[in-house]
Amino acid sequence: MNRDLPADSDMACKDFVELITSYLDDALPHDVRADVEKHLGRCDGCHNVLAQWRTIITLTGRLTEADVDNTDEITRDRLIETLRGLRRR
Amino acid sequence: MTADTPVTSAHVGLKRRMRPIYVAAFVQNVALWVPIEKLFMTGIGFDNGSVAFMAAAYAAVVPLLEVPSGIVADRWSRRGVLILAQAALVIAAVIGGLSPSVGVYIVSALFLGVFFALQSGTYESIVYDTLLEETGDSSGFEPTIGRIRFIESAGLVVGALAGGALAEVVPLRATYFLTVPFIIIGAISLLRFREPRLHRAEEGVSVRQQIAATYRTVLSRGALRPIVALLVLTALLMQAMLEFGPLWLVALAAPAWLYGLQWAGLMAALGVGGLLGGRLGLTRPITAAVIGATIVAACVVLTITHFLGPIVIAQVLLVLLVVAVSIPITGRLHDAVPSTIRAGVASGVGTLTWLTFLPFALLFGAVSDRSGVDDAGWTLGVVAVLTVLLLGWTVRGFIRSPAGVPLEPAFPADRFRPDDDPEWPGHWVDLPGGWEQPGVQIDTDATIAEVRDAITGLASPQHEVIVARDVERRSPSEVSEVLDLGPTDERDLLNQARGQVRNRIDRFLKEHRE
Repeated sequence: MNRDLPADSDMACKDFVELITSYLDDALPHDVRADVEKHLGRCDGCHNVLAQWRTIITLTGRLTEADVDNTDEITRDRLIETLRGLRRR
Repeated sequence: MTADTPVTSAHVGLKRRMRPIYVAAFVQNVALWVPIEKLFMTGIGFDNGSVAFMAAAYAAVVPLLEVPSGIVADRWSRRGVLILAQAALVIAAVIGGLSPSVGVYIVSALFLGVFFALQSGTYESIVYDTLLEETGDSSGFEPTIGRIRFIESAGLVVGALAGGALAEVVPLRATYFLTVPFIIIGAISLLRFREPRLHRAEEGVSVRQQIAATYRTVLSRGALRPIVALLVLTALLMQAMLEFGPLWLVALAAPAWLYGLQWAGLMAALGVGGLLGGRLGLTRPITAAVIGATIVAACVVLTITHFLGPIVIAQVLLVLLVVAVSIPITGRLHDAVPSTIRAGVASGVGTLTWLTFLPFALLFGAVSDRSGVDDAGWTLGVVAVLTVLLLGWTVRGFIRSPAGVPLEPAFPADRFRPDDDPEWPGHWVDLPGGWEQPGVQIDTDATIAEVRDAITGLASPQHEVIVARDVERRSPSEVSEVLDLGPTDERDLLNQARGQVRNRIDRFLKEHRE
């Protein structure tokens, strides 16, 4: 299979990149997911980008809330309280 | 220490820091020549045709300079650009006051255009970033920018009343020169303002990249487009009322004193609309419906009534409401834009407004010449209906997704071939290469630090989503609920955030492997 360029009738790469998170969340309809997988089988560029998305998720997971905090203390405390409340439900 | 203490001290700090901006906003609007300008222009040889030509001349200058000046503000200094704006205003006032003829006065008007272009969008950007620095969030944007609009309009009203009174005792030209000290006070006040530094967070971005990002943000499809369109339409209605409102009075042979009253009413409407806008609950359907119906009704009154009272009231009401609506919509625009391109994007919206106003003014003038100003009012009616329809549509989006305004696509549009490419429409121009290389480790401390910086630099909605999902490992449904986002918006924002982080890491790895 030629993985250098996608087939003529394939999903466009610019559409694929907008769907990566939905694909990883398994939130795509079956037919769209099938199109994505077909596209991934043919396009090295998108295949690489999907791998990079996974790398980003892994690297981001190494950070803590304090590392990436750009909110004030009060807003953060409220957010944490809300999240705790949700967890208790 | 109570929980309220930090809020109080932050707000006191904000108030103190904003004081020079408030002073500048007031004094730069004390333009003493404005109420007698048409009288002075007639005296040096202007007729209706040359007045229209002058308006077209400065309306053409503004869009040329808007975005470049916004980008300069983002890259250099917003305060510096505002001070340059004051310098242009001084030049406009001096040349205007010295003008012996139409030609020279038009040069003055061109400098007025430079002033408009330089200051447009810059105050908003300063306010937004100062709020972020002082309070940590942007929730006070609408009331603060509303307060500035009110102060500006107070300056305009004071200038109108004082200018009219002064013109009784000094030559008309003198009103131009007497305005200059006020402008200089404004510039001095700006020098005392401590400028926010957020927009300098990414100084490594090239000019070309910044220009591309600015235009892409203003012109891109997606949820930002209706917001930009709505800002253009509301500004168009306001500008049309300020430029053409007096023509209704001319058509009905209004007494001279009513011109002053009408102008003062419009200027006051700018301020009261600003204050109202900071408190407007646009997401309540009944509020949006009442405002929309009143905007359209005001335009209908202008086209069917031949009584001066209702006409002036309709004009004042129209300006008040479009200004009020524009305040929360402006807040949405800034929510969706990173600090590094904030002033450029705000200026881009200003450019679109002027580019829209130019043909609209010509159309309005042509209809007005042919069949009267009341018939020309129907053109306003069409704009008003479009505004209201778009408002309804946009407000629905606010309810569905209060913070969910997409900023940028995961990848810039120029990474893909155009849709009309004969071979590979929408596919990569250059295939992205893989990061994995034999013997090269990606998850180093330096890369993780770069990821951290990329996330910290994201604009509000994306930052919150990626932190909640990828740092705190919350589930999609949890994040949707906490951030009040629909599932699709939540994923779109997360995808954009991951895309921006990915692009930064890609640049970082390329630089470090070269």
